[in-house]
Amino acid sequence: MSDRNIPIIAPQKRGFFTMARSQKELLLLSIPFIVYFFIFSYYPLWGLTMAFQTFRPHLSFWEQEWVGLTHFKNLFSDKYFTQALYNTIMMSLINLVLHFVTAITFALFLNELRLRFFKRFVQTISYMPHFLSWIIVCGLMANMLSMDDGIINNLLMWFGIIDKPIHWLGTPGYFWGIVGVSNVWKSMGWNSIIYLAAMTAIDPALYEAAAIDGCGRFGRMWNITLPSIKPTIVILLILNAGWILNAGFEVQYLLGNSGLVMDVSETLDIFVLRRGFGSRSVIGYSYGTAAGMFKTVVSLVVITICNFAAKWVGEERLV
Amino acid sequence: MKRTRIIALLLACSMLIAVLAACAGGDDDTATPTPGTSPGATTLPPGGDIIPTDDFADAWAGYLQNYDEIADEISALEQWIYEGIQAEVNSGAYATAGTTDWGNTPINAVGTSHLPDSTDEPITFTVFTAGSGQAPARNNPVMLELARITGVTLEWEFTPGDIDQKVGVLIAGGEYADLIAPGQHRGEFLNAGAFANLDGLIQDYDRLWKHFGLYETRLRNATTDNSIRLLDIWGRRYTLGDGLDSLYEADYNGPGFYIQKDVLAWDNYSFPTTLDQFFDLLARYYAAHPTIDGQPTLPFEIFSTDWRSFSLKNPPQHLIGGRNEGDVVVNPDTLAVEIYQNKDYAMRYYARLNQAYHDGLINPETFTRNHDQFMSVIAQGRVLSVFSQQWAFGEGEQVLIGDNRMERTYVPLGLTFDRDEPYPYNRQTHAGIQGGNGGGISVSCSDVERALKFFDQLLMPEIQILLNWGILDKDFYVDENGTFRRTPEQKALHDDPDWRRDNLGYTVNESFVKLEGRLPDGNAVGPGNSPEERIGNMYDYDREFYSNYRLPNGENFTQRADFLPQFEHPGYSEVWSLLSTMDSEAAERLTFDKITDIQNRYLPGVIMS
Repeated sequence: MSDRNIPIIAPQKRGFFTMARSQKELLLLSIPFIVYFFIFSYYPLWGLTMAFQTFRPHLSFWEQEWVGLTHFKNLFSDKYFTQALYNTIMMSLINLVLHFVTAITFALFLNELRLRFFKRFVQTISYMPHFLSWIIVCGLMANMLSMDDGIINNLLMWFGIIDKPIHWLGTPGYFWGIVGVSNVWKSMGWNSIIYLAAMTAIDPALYEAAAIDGCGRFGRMWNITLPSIKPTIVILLILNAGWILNAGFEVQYLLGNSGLVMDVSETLDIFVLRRGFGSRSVIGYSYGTAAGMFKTVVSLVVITICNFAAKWVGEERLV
Repeated sequence: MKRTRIIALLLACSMLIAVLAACAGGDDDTATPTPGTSPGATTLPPGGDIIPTDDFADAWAGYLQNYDEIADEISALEQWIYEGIQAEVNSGAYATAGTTDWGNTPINAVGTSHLPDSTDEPITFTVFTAGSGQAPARNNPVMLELARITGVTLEWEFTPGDIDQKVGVLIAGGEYADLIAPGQHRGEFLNAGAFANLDGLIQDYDRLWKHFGLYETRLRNATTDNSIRLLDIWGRRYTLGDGLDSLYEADYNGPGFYIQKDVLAWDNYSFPTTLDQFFDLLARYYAAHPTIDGQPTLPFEIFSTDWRSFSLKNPPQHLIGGRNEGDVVVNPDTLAVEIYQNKDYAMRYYARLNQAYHDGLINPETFTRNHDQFMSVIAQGRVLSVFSQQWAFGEGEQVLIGDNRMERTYVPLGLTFDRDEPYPYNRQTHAGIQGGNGGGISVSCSDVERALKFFDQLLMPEIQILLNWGILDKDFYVDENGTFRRTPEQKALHDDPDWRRDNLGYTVNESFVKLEGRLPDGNAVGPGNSPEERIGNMYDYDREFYSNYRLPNGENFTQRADFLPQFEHPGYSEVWSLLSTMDSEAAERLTFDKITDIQNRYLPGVIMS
């Protein structure tokens, strides 16, 4: 009757079908997910063939004209593509750094709060913006940064820091900063939740021991809290690093759609959209697909590297 | 532990780089001048002798560099368009360009109550409209009457949001609504084979074929396989030949330097014809009116995002007398074609804008406004002038009309570099049907012949009266001379966009085949081109304003079109047709995209250099 009496069966002795039969309930349960992933994740991969064709949507697959790597050649000789790639990577890095620094710092401070009600209150308020859509956030941003009665310019002028309004959204030098700040405003509270959760799992005895050993508040944060949530930080870093080529789409598209800042605002996603779905009555599915495919392949490589890096530093791995 | 340190070091480095990158560029931005700092710049160099500043010259050189990089591709594109025009001219399309008289088509009675109910099986057609808008109310009396006579009910689908994307997805899916009003996206639908071939069918419908037969070549030229798929909305004007036809033209809504009536009135009803006079006037008016209703005045706006960038890049062609042939100018003698945004006359224009910018006449925010913001500044009445097409800002202007602020509405100026007389811009006679600029029946349509029959019925004079004027004695009346008129109350309702949508048939007429000009009994097809309505129902402000301007024949102006002279030659609008229906994967298209991209990216910077 006890657990020890269950015999251990060596798996290699059982054939595939024997095993399949004995686990048929599990297999049945997995079918919907297999179907789901096949339809929504694997079947669309077929569309990548467009990158090697001159794709015309009304022709069948067999009637398409195959052009080999022509679209990729055009892509790599397109200076706006390289520019978009650079913009994407830089904005991603900015977002990644700001994400970690702000979310972890915020979580650390929130964790130290004694007043439970106040803590909950701050936490709720801070993650609210996460539920706003980008179009609203960008509208708010555009209003606040406006030269024409925008609150930022008004404040700066009121304090006498500047004597005429700054054209925030039309100056390339400010654009990445604006994207970074928008991201922080929108997602800092939300991102900190997972760190706060990790912090609740820390054994309080550790803090007591540290306090007895004469460790101050900041000392405990540095020596106990941070090392304890290190696995979470590393896992999230890996997860996020894989998205290095996704610097976002909406914020750059909605705030950076003018010729003045296009050179710094165009990300790969916007490039794919502009080239793929044309800015003016024309569509280039193939070219857009080629650019999108490049992005996918690079993302796959990056996430694989990050995964190995995680193993190398001895932390948990994703795959 | 050593490995951990290396990783930490790497992370720290990447953070440092990212932070530095975020700050980079912030150092070299020069504070941008803003309006209000130098409004009194009234001493402008005479005769257009603009000496570009060094900064401008550098910016312009950098801009030209982009064209040099693709010089070969550009000549190939120009050659391709040239051949297109040649083919068009050789096909004899110009010989048939013109208007048509009615012949003996009788009109039995005004109103539609005498028309019998449709004997056909009632059918519902779905309509995809590639544009923002709203479907008419289900109880729209005009649409119900249309359904009674034709047996056809229309189910509308409009496209709020990103039209490019929606159209792309639709085409990739290959399932369409029964009828498609493709708007700016005709090329994509056409090249995707979305439209049913009407060749061999359309010829059987008398009214349709009388309407389109004359322009068969142009209809065919719009497709790649010499078939008939798109039925143009505009271009066919009906006349009576009684010497009054020209009065029945709809008002001009094409390209021009649109300026608020109040600016001209303030300057003793002046009539600027050169770019310098224009900016000089703006500077003087701005100095005298730095704010309008408490908000800062915006002397000249250039709204330029996405496909609407024509406000930014089209003016040079008009300043030298061109006619909106798309992104090229056509030499009328040799038919030689050239793109113009990199030519010396373009530089002259942008150098003038650069100067206007430094004079504070162009607010830098004009380049970062989105469409809603642009509409709202127009509606606030504080934009003195724009280069645009009237329909592109009409939504904002409509608010001004609703607020009865007629002095803040606009008239077009046909500015030149240094002529005493304005150019006609795009005001031209007898363009005829251009080919490709219309709606069609999709390949998914359940009953193509029935849809054609419906289009044929749309061309009945009675139906056109119904769609445009509304229901007799409710929405308009017939006066003692037999002329269609509206009471001021009826006109006020017609001018309200929401009422109009839910009580008249404009939604149909903006998407599919229609009549323009005059009906067999001499009345205007719609209130918009009725001279009795135009003059009889003119706003008091407009009557006063226009009475200060005289036509060559000594009569007062009656509409904004009178500010422009009229071209006799129809122009080469097929260039635009060629460009908007070109194969999406053609090499010329990529070149065309690149050119558009260069202009959208660099011209704002050039103007602000």
